[in-house]
Amino acid sequence: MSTTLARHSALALVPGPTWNSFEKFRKGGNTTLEEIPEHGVGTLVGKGVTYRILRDADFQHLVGLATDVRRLQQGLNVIIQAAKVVAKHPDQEHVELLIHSAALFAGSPVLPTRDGHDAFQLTQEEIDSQASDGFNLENAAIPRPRF
Amino acid sequence: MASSLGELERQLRSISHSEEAIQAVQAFSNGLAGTNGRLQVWNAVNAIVRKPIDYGDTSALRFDTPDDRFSVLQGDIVQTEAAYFYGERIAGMPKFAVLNSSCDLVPGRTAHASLLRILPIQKGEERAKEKLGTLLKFSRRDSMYLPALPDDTEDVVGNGISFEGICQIRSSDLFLANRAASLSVVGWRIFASFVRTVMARANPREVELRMAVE
Repeated sequence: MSTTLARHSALALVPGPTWNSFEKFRKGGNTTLEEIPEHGVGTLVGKGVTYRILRDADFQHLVGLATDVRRLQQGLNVIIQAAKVVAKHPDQEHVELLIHSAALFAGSPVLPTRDGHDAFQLTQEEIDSQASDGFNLENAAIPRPRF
Repeated sequence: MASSLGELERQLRSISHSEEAIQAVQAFSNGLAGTNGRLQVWNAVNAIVRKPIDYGDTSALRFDTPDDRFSVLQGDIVQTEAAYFYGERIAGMPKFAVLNSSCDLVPGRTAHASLLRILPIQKGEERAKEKLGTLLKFSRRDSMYLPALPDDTEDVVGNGISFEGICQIRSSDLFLANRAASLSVVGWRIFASFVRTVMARANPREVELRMAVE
């Protein structure tokens, strides 16, 4: 649950199975999708359109990385704008602005991420108020909604 | 209809900062038979959570006007790696509850959305029993109990929606998030009761303080 400044692992997608028609894909049933490994990308060739199929965890990882790309693009835009200003007004003040913008960007070549959420915390008063509760978590069969 | 600002204030006094809704939830849960009894009630399907509500299903029930269309609804439990908290992107497939009202979540209506963190309680973590017991009593004003969800790992014994600290996400990214669950009708009412209470509650001292300076 800690903040990291390490480079977040790039998603290494690997090729998965290919189905050359929807019929082949459909006939395989559930086992067809299970052929797609973790980080694998299945390919379904339709009539005039090719579809890529991947696990949701990999898809969410890709969307997350795409948001980081947008952040980087915004940083690059600042530098590009500063460079344009320098090209028009090549004086000391504007050159310094460009150097400052580039330094800010170069100073944080990685983007901060954190892994998951912090843990739920209790106050001492809340802990004390549970003392009389006879509930035994170790042996409890906790029902879980299934959809 | 109020005829003066003073009268308007008196009319709003009992409704604008009322904690009545959250107190009703708390009273109901306190009336259940201990932690075990509360688990039996709150963890049932459709007690707080239910299968994600699908537009295909609702449109078949004739909720099919342009305004009825949705991708996500308020209170939906979603998994995404595209949300931010204090400038940090949260990786590791965390879960969130959607804070915005459903009518703001129509594609094209708003560019950004707000999410609340869902903190899982794992069986092996310190004070897990006390955390579960506390959440099940709905005694906190900043945390709402959620049962362990179908796709939670086996060691998760419950969850808490944290109303302290709000995460941000682009609406376009939210629409691509994995929907793990929707709230049931009563779950959605409880969720809204927390939202109201967290955003607008007042202790009597603050009321006195404000009135004293006017």
